[in-house]
Amino acid sequence: MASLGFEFAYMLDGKQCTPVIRDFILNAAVARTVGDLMYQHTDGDLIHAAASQDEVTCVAMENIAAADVTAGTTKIKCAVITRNQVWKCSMDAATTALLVGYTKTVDIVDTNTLDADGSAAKGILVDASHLDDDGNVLAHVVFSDTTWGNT
Amino acid sequence: MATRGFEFAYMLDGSSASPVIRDFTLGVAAAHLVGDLMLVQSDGYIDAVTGTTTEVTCVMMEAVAAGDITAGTTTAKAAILTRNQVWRCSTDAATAATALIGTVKTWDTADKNTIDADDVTNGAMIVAEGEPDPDDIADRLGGDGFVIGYVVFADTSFGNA
Repeated sequence: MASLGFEFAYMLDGKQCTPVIRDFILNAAVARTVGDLMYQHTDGDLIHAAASQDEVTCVAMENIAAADVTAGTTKIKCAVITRNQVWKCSMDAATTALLVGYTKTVDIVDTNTLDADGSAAKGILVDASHLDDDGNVLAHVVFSDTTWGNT
Repeated sequence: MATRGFEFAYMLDGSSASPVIRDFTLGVAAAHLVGDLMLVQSDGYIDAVTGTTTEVTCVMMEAVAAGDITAGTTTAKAAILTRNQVWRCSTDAATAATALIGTVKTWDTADKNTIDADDVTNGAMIVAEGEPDPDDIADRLGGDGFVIGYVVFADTSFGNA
C-alpha cells in the first residue's frame, strides 16, 4: 500500500525528537485524513495543500469526517512542520527523474501524494531509492518553506 | 597535523545530535578522503568542492580510491550538512584574515578539505569561533601551526530553496 500520506521519517540533523502536535482550526467542512499536508489559510484557519503549494504548515494527525467539521470552529490535531524534519510520502509513479539534493521544487499531486514529475513547489528530495507496496516511489523530502521557518 | 578535512564539532543549537550519515553516489572517479566537502551536481551525483564554495551538501565519511570508483554508480557514506551544525577545518595559513564571529558569512574554502584563511568574501561559511579574541585563535592552531576554523554552512542543499 501507499504511505498514509505524509509520515514523519527522521530529523535531518540527527536529533532524536519528534514533531510537536497541536490543535489547529479547520477552514472548511471537508474530510481530513491522517497524513494530509496542510497550510495556514489567509483567514488563519487550516486548509489542505494542493499542487504548486509553496508554504506548508503541518500534517494532519487525526481523521475527521466532513460532517463533523464546522468551518472556522472544529479543531484538528496536526504535527508542526519544521525545516529540519524529513517526511516520507508515496509518489504517483514507480520512477522519478527528480534529483536528491538538487531538486528543491518537489511538488504534490494532492494533499497526500507527491508528484513524481512535478517541480513547482518547495520540497527538497532527500531520498527516492525505495518503493512502497504499490510499486511507487516512497520519497523522503524536506520542506524548505515552512510557516514558522520563513519570512 | 592539520584536521582531517572538515570534522563535525558540535550542534549550534545545543542539542547532542550528530550528523545523519547516508550513501551518496559519486560523480567523478577521483580519490575522496574522509572530511572532503561535497556538493550534489545537476546530474544528481556528488563531487568535491574547490574554491569559491557556496552551496554544500555533505562531508565524506569514508575514503574511496579513484580506482575503485565508477562515476555515477559507486556510492560512499557522507554526513548530511544542516545549518545548525558547527564544523571545524584547518586553514591554509598560520594567521587568518579578520573573521568576526557571526559577522563574516562568506568565508571560503581553498579546496575540498581546507579553509582559505584570507578569503572572507567568496564563500558561504559563517565564522562560529575565532576573532575578535586573539586567544581563541591561539587556542585553535593545528599541529602544523595553521589556524583551525570553526564554521556554520549558510547554504546547505537540504536547507535552502
